[in-house]
Amino acid sequence: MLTLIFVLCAALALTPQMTSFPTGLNALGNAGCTCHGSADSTTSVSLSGLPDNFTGGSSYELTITVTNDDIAPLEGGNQAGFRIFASAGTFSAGTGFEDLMYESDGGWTHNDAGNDMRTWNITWTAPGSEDQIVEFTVNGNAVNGNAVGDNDGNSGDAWNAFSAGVPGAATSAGGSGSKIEQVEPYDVAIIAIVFSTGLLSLLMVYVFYRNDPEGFTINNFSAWLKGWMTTTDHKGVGTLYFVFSFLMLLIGGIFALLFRLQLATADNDFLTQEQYNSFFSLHGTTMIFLAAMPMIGAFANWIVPLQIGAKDLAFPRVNAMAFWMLPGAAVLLFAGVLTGEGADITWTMYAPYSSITGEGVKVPSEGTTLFVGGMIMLGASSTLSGLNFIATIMAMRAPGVTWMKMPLFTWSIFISMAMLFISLPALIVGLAYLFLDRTIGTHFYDTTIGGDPLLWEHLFWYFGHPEVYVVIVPAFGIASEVLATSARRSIFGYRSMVYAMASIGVLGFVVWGHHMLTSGMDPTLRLLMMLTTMLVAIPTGVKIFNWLATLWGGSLVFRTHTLWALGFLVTFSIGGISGMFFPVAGLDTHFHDTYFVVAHFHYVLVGGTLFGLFSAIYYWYPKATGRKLDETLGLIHFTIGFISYNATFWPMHELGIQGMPRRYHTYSVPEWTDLNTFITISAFVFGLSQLFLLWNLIKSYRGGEPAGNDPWGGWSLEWTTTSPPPTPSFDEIPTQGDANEHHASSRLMGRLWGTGDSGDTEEVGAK
Amino acid sequence: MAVGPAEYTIFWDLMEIWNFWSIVVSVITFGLLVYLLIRFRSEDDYAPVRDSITPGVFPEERDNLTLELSWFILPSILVLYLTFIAWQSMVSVWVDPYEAANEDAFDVTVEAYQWGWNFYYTDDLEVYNSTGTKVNYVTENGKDIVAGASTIDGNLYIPCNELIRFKIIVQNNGDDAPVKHAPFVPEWAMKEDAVPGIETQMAFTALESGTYEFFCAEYCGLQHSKMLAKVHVIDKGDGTCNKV
Repeated sequence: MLTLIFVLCAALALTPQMTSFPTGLNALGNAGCTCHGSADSTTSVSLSGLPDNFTGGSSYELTITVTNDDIAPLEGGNQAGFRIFASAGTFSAGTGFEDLMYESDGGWTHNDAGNDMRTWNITWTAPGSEDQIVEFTVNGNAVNGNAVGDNDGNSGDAWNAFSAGVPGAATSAGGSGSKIEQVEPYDVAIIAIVFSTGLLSLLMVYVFYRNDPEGFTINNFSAWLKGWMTTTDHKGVGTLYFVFSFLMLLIGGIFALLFRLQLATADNDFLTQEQYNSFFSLHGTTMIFLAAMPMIGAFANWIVPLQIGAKDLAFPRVNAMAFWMLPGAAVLLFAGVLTGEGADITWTMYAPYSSITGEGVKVPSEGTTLFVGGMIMLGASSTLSGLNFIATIMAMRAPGVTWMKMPLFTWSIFISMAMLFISLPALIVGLAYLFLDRTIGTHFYDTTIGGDPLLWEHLFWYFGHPEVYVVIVPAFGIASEVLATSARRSIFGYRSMVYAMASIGVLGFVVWGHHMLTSGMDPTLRLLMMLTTMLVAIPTGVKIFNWLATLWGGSLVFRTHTLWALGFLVTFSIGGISGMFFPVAGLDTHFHDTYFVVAHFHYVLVGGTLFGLFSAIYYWYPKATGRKLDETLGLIHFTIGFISYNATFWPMHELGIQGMPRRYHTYSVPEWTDLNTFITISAFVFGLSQLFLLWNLIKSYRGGEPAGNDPWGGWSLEWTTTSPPPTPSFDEIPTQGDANEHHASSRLMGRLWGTGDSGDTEEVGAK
Repeated sequence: MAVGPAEYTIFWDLMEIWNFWSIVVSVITFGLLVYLLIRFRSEDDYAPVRDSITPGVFPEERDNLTLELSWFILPSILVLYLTFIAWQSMVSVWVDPYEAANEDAFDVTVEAYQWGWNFYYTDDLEVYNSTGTKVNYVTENGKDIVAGASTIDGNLYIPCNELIRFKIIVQNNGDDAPVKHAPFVPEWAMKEDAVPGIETQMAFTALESGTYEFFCAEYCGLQHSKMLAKVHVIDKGDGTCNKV
C-alpha cells in the first residue's frame, strides 16, 4: 500500500497545476460552435497571419478562411460561419469587420450579417508573457444558404476545424520552458490497478510463507493456491469474496480520486471528457457490483451457515462458481480501459445512448459492448447466489433456529437475496436487449422506428431500486447484531425488526418510478410512485428507533465495530432524510440529476452500506482468523474516516441546491469551485484513511490479540464455534436454545404476534 | 449567477417545510442517541449479563408495545402530512400550469441535440418601447423574436411574467441517432427530460427578468457538460415584471 501512496503522490506531483493549459477548446463556451450540419473533410478552415513566435503585447492581423468546393457560396445569402478561440491574448474585430463579428463566451464568432462571406479579418493581441505557447482553434462552417428567411436549414452544410500552437518569443522553438507534461490519467489508473493486483499477489505469497516458513517451496505454494482456487467451503469462498471486493473497493476509489481531481476547479482539463465519462461510469459500477455486493456476499458466505448451524451452503459448488464469475466479469467491465477508452454509459446505462453504435464521438466508447457483457455475467452470478442463500436459509436451519429465532443478520441476508432474485430478471432482460442492439442490430431501444424510449428505464429501475435495498438491508442486519452485542442486551423489538425489513423489501418493488419523475413518464404513475416512496420512511424509522431503544438499559462497550455501527446510524439517517426530498414534485424538478442526488446516495451507500460492512469487518474478523483487529488503528480509521467522509459528501447537498448537475466533466460557474476543491481534498483524506484498515487487516492476521470463541459476548451460533471454525463448520449439527420460556409475553403481544413461546421444547442449553 | 432557484419559486417554500422537519427529526434522533451513549456507557467490561445472553441460546425478547406503536404512528402522521404537501406541489408544478398553458401561453420549442440547443418560436415576443408602442423584441444579434423565428446560438428569449410552455423534443435529422437530454434551469428549479420520439413539456412563469443558466441534465455522451445555453427573460416594459 506504500507503493499505492507513492503512485498517487507521483501522479499529483506530475500535475503541479490543475490545468496543463489555461484553457482548452472545450473549456470555453459551447463546444467550439453550435455549427450546423456535420463535420466534413470537404470543408477546410485556415488561419493565416500567425507569427512564428509572438512578441508580448503585439497585435497581429489574422485572416480566417473557410473553403469548400462542394458547397457553392450563395450570392448575397448565408455562406459560412466561424468561431475562434485563443488560449491567451485578446481579439478584436478586423478593420471593416466591426459589425460582422462579436465576442461570445470566451471566443469570437460571426453574427447574422457576418455569415454572408467566407473570409474574415480579425486582430489578435498577444498576452504580455512570452513564456508560453498560445493555442488557436478555429471552427469553420461552409453553408449552402438554403435557409430561407428565418428558417435556418442546415442540410448540406459542413464544418471543420483548424488548430495551431504559437510559441512566444521566450520559449525555445518547438518546445516550452513553462509547459509541463501532464501525466496521462489512464496510465495512473492502469498503474494503480496493476500495482494493486501485484501487491495482492505478493500478499498471497507472504501469507503462504507465514503459514509455514519451513515449507516455503513452489510445490507447496501451487498446492496451496490450487486449494484456494478450487475451494467450495463457504468460509473459503467467503474469504475469496472479501479479498476480491476489498481490492475492487480500492480500485473504484482510485477512479473517484482521479475524477475528483478533475472537478477540483472550474474549467479544468486534467481529464479529457472521454476519460471523465468512463471513470465515473466505472466508479459507480465497480463500487456497487464489484465491491459492495461481493463484500456483502463475503459476510453472507462466512456467517449465515454458522448462524443457522449448517455445515455449508445448499449448493457449495454453485457458490464457488458464482464467485469465480466475478473476476471474469470484472475483466469484461474494465476491458475498455486497457484500450484507452473505457465504457462511458454510466452505471445506469440509459438507452438510447447506451444502445447506439457507429463511428464518431456521439456514440458510446469502444469498451461499452464488453461492459454490457460483463454486466450480464454479474447478473448470472447474483442469480446463482440468490438461489443458494434462499435455499440454504429455508431448508438447512438447525433445530432451534426457527424463523422467528434466527439472528437478524441471517434475516437480512434472506430478505436481501429474495429481493435480488426477484428483481434480477428485469435487469437481465434489459441487458440482453441492450447487448443484442449493440451486436446484431436489433432495435429494442430504437426510438426512430417507434421503440419505447422509456423501456430501458422501467426495466432497469424495476431492478435498480430493489437493488439499492439489497445492499442496505444486510447493513441493517449487521447494525442489529453489533449494536445489541455492544450494548450487551438483546435487540429491542425483534419481531418488529423482521417485519420492518420485510416491508421495506416489499415496498422497494413499487417505488422505482421515483428515479423517473422527470423522464416524460405518465403523470399518474408519477403520483403513485411519489406516494409509495414517502411510505418507505415509516418502516425505516421504526428500525432506527428500535436500534436506539436497544441501547437503553444497556452497558455499552465502545469497540471499533460499535463506532462504525453508531456512525452508520447517524449517516444512514441523514441519507434517509435527504431521500425524502425527492418524491416532492417541486423539489425533484430541481434536484433530479444534480449533486443533491449524489450526496443522498453516497450517504446511504457509503454511510449506510459501507459503514455497516466496516463494522462487520471489525466484528467478525476474530471469528474468521482467531485474532482481533488492533483497536488503536481501528479508532484512527474511524475518526479520520468518519470526519473526512462527512466533509466529502455533506457539501454536495449545497452544490445540488445551487443547481450543479451531476455527471459533468467540468463546470464554468466560479461560485462552485470552493466547495468542489474542499470536497476533493476531503475525498483524498477519506480514500487514504482506508489504508489504515488495509494495514490493520494484514498486521493483525498474525500479530493481533488472540480471540476465543466469543470475544464480544454474542449469542448466535457462530459464537459457539472455534475461531476460526473447523471445516466442515459443524461436525455435529448443533441445537439452538431459547431463553424465552422464562419470559412472559403480555397477552396483547401474544395476540398481535402469536405466542411468545417458540412451541419447541428446548432446554436453555450451553455448549 | 447560479446560486440556486429564485426566491419566488415553490422550491423554497417546500425547502422550508422539508428542512424544518428534517431538523426536527434529526435533533430528536441524534439527541436521543447522544443521551443514550452517555447514560448507558459501560463502566467496566464485566457488566452483568442481561436478557440471558448465552452463546447458542436465543436471548430473551424485549419489546414495548406502547413505544413501538408510538414510533410507528407518529412518523406515519408526519409522512402523511408531507405526502399531502407533496401531492399539492405535484398539482402546482405538473398539472395546473399545463392546463393553463392549453388556454394561452408563450410557446417555445426546445430542440436538443448532441450537443446543443435550438429554440423555435411560434409566438411573438412583444415589448413596449420608449414611445409606448408594442414592438417585436430584437436580440443583440439583430434577430426578431416572432412566430417562425429560431435562435440556434444557445440563447433563449422569453417574456417576463407570462406563462411559457416549453415543448421539448430531440433533434432527429436522420444523421445521428437521437439520445435523451434534459433542459434544466436552476433559477426556476425546473427540468424535464427531452425524450427521442415524443414531445415532453414544461410550463412555467418567470417573474424576474435577467439572464440565467440553462444546462443539460440527462447524460448524453461526450460533451454533456458543454451543452449549455442562456435564458434571457425579457421585461416587456408593461410594469408587470420583477414584482415578486
